[in-house]
Parts: sequence; C-alpha cells; structure tokens
Amino acid sequence: VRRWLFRILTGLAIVAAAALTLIYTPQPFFKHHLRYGAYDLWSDRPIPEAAAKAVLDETTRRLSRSPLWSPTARFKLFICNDNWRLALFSQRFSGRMGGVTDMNFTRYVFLRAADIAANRLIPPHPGSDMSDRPLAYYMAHELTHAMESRAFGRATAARYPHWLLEGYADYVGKAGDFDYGKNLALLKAGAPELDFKRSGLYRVYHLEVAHYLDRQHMSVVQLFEAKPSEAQALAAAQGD
Amino acid sequence: MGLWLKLIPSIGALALVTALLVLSARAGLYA
Repeated sequence: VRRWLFRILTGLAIVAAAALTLIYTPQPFFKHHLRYGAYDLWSDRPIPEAAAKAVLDETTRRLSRSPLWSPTARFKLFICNDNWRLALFSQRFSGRMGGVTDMNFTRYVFLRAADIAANRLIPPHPGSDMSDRPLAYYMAHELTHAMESRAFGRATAARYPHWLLEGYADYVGKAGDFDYGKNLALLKAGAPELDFKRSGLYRVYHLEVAHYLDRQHMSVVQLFEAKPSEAQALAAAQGD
Repeated sequence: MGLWLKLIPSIGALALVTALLVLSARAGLYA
C-alpha cells in the first residue's frame, strides 16, 4: 500500500511538472526560430527570413496603432504547420481555429499553418474569404490578446466580455481596413457575416468597438472600464 | 491505515493543483 501511495504521488507530481513545462516551454516542439524586432518567432517548418521580417513589420504597424502597444514589450509566437501542435497547445484537441493566445499564464501566441512568404494563414475552412485577413492580421489579432492580458491582468478572459476582447483584437488586427458604414448596413440588414454565431466572424464585435472608440471617442481604457454587455454594445452600434 | 491518512491530503492537493493549472490555462486560451 505504501509503495502504491508513493507511486500515485510521484505520478501526480510528474504530471503537474510536465503540464507546467509544456505550458511555459513549447520551444522544443518547434525546430526553427527567428528573433526580430519585438518578436521571437518559432515554427515547425523553416522560416523564410526576409518574408517573415516583412510580415512582422506589418504586424508591428498594426499593433503600434493601439495605445496598449509598448515599444519595449516582447512577444513570442509559435507557428504550428502540423495541426496536432495547435491542438495540443490550444488544449482544444481540434485545431480548427486561426490561433490562440494564452492570456492567463505565458501570453504566448500559437498560430495555425501559414504560408509566410505569401503573408497568408491557411484557413481551417477551405474557401474562407481571407481577403481582409492576411497572416499579419492573425498575428496582430492574437498579440492584441497578449496586450489586453498585460494591460488588464491575467484573469482578463474571465473578467471581460467576449465581444469586447475579440472586437478589440479584430479592430487592432485590421488596422483601419474596415468600412464602418458598409458593415453597419449589413448588420441592419441581418447579414450572416455580421452574426458571430452564424459566421464565426468577429466583424459585428469590431463594429461595436469601433462605435465606442471612433464614434463615441472613448479611449480603450475607458471602454474596458465600462465593459458594456454584448446586448448594450449591439444596441449602441445599431443606433448609429 | 496511518500512511493513507497522512498521504491522502497530499495526493488530493497535488491532484487539485494539477487540475486547476490545466483548467485555468485552458480557460485563458483565447482564439
């Protein structure tokens, strides 16, 4: 009995240590590395250096428009061309997503398969319209979650509404490449692209964030302090 | 029996910490 108790205890300690190690050091799973600007970029495939630097510069251009950006902050990104890595590090056991950010512990970003040379993420659903979402968008979107976590605290994902966290990430990620009037008209017409549940797109949340930041001239910090509910935000945007 | 009583709290605590660690990491993973 004594031996089994110690085995259980040791087993649990090993599981806890392995979980911590996996969460904090995914690097051994990614063979290739590029350090450039504010970023450490890892990938499971060779990284085309010049193209990657151009994509990261484009990511910085997008992120640095946000007041949450700090020129001294550093970020870690991991590109998972093999989908099992994304499934493992996203803890979703399905890699059907553009990417994930660990907002509680490490603020590491994991992205799905990407064609860096083409500045393109390979979408989980073939045929998705990616025209307004190059790879730099996905990097900036996920890194905005990391900035949100740094600015508003580790439990940010639990303390702020989903529409606000995603809407702001879409807003920063698209860096102004968003037609407010056109999207508002689509919302009022009940278009599926402006319905997150039907399309999986964050455009409606982006519209709501743009309403508060650009129309109401609120600051990001004020908006996160006010944290309107999804229903309030929808009603406010529809009132424009 | 005495050993059970001594070690069960440690096993419980470690299991709880592991579960909390993994669940909170999962909860913080934002798409």
